[in-house]
Amino acid sequence: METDQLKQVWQLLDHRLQQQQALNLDLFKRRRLDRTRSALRWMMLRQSIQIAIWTAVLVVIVGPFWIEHRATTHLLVLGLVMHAYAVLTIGTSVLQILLMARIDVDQPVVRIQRQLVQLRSLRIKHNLLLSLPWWPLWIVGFVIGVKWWLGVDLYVISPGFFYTTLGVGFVGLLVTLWIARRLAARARMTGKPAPMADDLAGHSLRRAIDQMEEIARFEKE
Amino acid sequence: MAPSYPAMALDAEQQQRFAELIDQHRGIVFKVAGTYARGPDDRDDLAQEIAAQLWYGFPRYDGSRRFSTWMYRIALNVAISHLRSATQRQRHWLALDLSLHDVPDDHDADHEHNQQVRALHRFIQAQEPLNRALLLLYLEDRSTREMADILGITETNVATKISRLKQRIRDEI
Repeated sequence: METDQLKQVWQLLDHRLQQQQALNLDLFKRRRLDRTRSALRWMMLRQSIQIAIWTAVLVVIVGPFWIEHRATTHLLVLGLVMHAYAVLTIGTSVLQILLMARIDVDQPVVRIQRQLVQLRSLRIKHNLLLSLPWWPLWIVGFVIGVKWWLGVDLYVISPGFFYTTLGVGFVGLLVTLWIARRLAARARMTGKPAPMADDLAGHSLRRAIDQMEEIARFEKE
Repeated sequence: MAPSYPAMALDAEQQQRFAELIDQHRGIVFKVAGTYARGPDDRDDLAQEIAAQLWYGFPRYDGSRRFSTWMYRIALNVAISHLRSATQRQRHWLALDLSLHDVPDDHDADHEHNQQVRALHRFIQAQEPLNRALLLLYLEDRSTREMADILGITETNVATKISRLKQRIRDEI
C-alpha cells in the first residue's frame, strides 16, 4: 500500500472510530479526577514518610549507638551496618522524590518516557535492595534494640544464636528468591499478574531496561 | 505508573476556554486513545485518563504555543504510560484480535476498505510505543517540526524515521 492510500485508510478508520465513539468526555468525573490526582502523590507521601522514619532512627538510635559502642568491635560493626542501610533507604527515597518532581507530562514524549522508566527501574531496585536484606538484617536490628533498651548484649550472651539466626536469614533470602522465580514463572503460564514476584525475580527490572534501550534506540536511529 | 499533575483549580473563564479548545481538538484524544488502547473499554478508560490529565495541565499551558502540540504531548505521554502499565499487568494475555474491535461487522460495507483498515490497524499495533506515536503523527499530517517538538527528537531524526516508516508500510501492508 502506498503512503497516500494509507492516509486515506487512516481517515476512514478515524471516521469509523468517531461514529462508534459513544464516549462522553466527561472531564469532571469525580472518580477519575480523584484517581489521577492520587497517582504520584501517594508515592511521594510514602517516600516522605520513609525518609522521616529512617532519619529519626538514624539520628535517635543508630548513630548514637555505634558512637557510644565504637570501642566494642561487634557492636560498632552492627551499628554501621544498620547505619549504611538507613542511609541507603533515605538516599533512594530522596532520589525517587526528585525523579517524581521532575515529571511533567507536557514535556516532549521521549524525555518524559525516559524519566518514567528511570523512576520505575529505581523503584524496582529499591524494592530488591531494601526488602530482601531484612532476612538477615532483622537480627542485627534486634541485637541493637535489645542492647539499646535493655543494656543486654545478645551477641556476647549467645553468639551461637546470633550466627544461627543470621545463617537462617541468608537461607530465607535465597528461598524467597527461588519462590519468587517460581511464582513469576507460574504467573507467565497462567496470565495472572504477580508484580511482587516479578520484581523479586528481576523480571520487572529486565523489562524496564528493555524499555530504556527502546527509548535510546528511538533517539539514535 | 501514570504521571499526574497536582490539582489546580480553573476559574470559570479558564474552564470555558478549556472546554472550547478541547471541543475543537477532541479528535486528538480519540485518535491517541484508539491507537494505544487494547479494546473499546480500555479505549474509553484511556480517553478519560488523557482528558483528566489535560484538565490538570491546562493552568500551565502556554497560550503562545500551539494547543495541538501541547495536547499531543500529554495525550501521547499518558497513552504510552498506560500501554506500558497495561502490558505489565496483562503481559501474558492471549493476543486479542485488535484489528477487529473497531471495525463494524457489516457485510454490505466495502470489503476492500475493511481489509485495508484491518491491515493498517494491525500495522499500528505491531509498532513499539514511540514508533506508534511517530506513525500516528505522520498519518495526521503533522509537520516534521511539530513532530520533533512533540516527541523531543531532532527534525533530521524525524525525517529519517518517516522515510524508513514509509518503506516498511510499502513492504508490510
